[in-house]
Amino acid sequence: MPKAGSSLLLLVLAASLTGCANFTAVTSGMPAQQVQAKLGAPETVRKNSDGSEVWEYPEGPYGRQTYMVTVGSDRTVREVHQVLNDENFSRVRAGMSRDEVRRLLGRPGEIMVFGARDEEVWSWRYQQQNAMFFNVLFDRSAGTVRTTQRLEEILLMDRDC
Amino acid sequence: MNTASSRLLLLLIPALLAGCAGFSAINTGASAQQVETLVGKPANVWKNADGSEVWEYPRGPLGAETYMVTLGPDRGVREVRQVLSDEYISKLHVGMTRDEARRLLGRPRDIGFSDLNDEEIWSWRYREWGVRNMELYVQFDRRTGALKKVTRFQVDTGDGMRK
Repeated sequence: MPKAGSSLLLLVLAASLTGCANFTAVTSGMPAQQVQAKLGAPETVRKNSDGSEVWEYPEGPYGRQTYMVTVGSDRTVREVHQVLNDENFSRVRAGMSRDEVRRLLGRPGEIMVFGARDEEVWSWRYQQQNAMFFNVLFDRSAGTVRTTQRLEEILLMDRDC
Repeated sequence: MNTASSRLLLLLIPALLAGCAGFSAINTGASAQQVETLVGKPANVWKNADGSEVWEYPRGPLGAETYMVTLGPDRGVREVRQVLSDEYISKLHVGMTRDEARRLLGRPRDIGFSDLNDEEIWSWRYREWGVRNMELYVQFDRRTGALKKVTRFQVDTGDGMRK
């Protein structure tokens, strides 16, 4: 592909990831009200003991990014993180609770339930060079992490998946 | 671990390995009886129109191998295949039925459900190159029963012994 063509492709890709554009507009020190005006209401709000809050913004089941906005006790933004990345995935450990995983990675895109092995699989889509998936496998009764899996390859996919 | 139980473990290991080794001892032309003596009764038998049969031996739910033994109409072994491998997995295709997938790869380790797109997910564990622990997910549309998606995941931790 000629260089101009690949640059154009990058521009188109960047433009298609419109969801993220809003988040770059959220900066440290911004009042919490402005965040809501720009991004809408968060999916979940978690209150920390120091009065700060974490606002969770997943993109939805097919989204590849989930943002966590930390709002200080002074009601201004402390930090904004996109949490679906290798660094966070590697923090998931066997024995963690659903809540701990949820706090780390936000709401999963999809939950699969396997009866015979009493297992619940939480799955997130994310973006590296390619479209990727990350799975966390829970013991369903105990509610704790058994193991994690990373996508090796999409072998087949119907067009509407 | 005390001596008695470690001795028991040492006894068990060759016994477990023998389970797999049994299939390599099945020669072409062996009789159905010889097959049963070597590897026991199959979990499932598929009858073909030409009078031949395929005997299915999933070594699950822990096992990462599934053997298919084909017997001709003369009740002699035609071939023995270990089907949880890239060769057979690559034969899956979009639109396939559950029954076709079952015939290709044998009984799944587990069948799961997802409400997101009303899907049924069949999963198999297998070992790529005999070492890497992989999990295959084959997703079917629950209403039409047609195969929609096949993904394979690398298992991050070596937990082959989990229940």
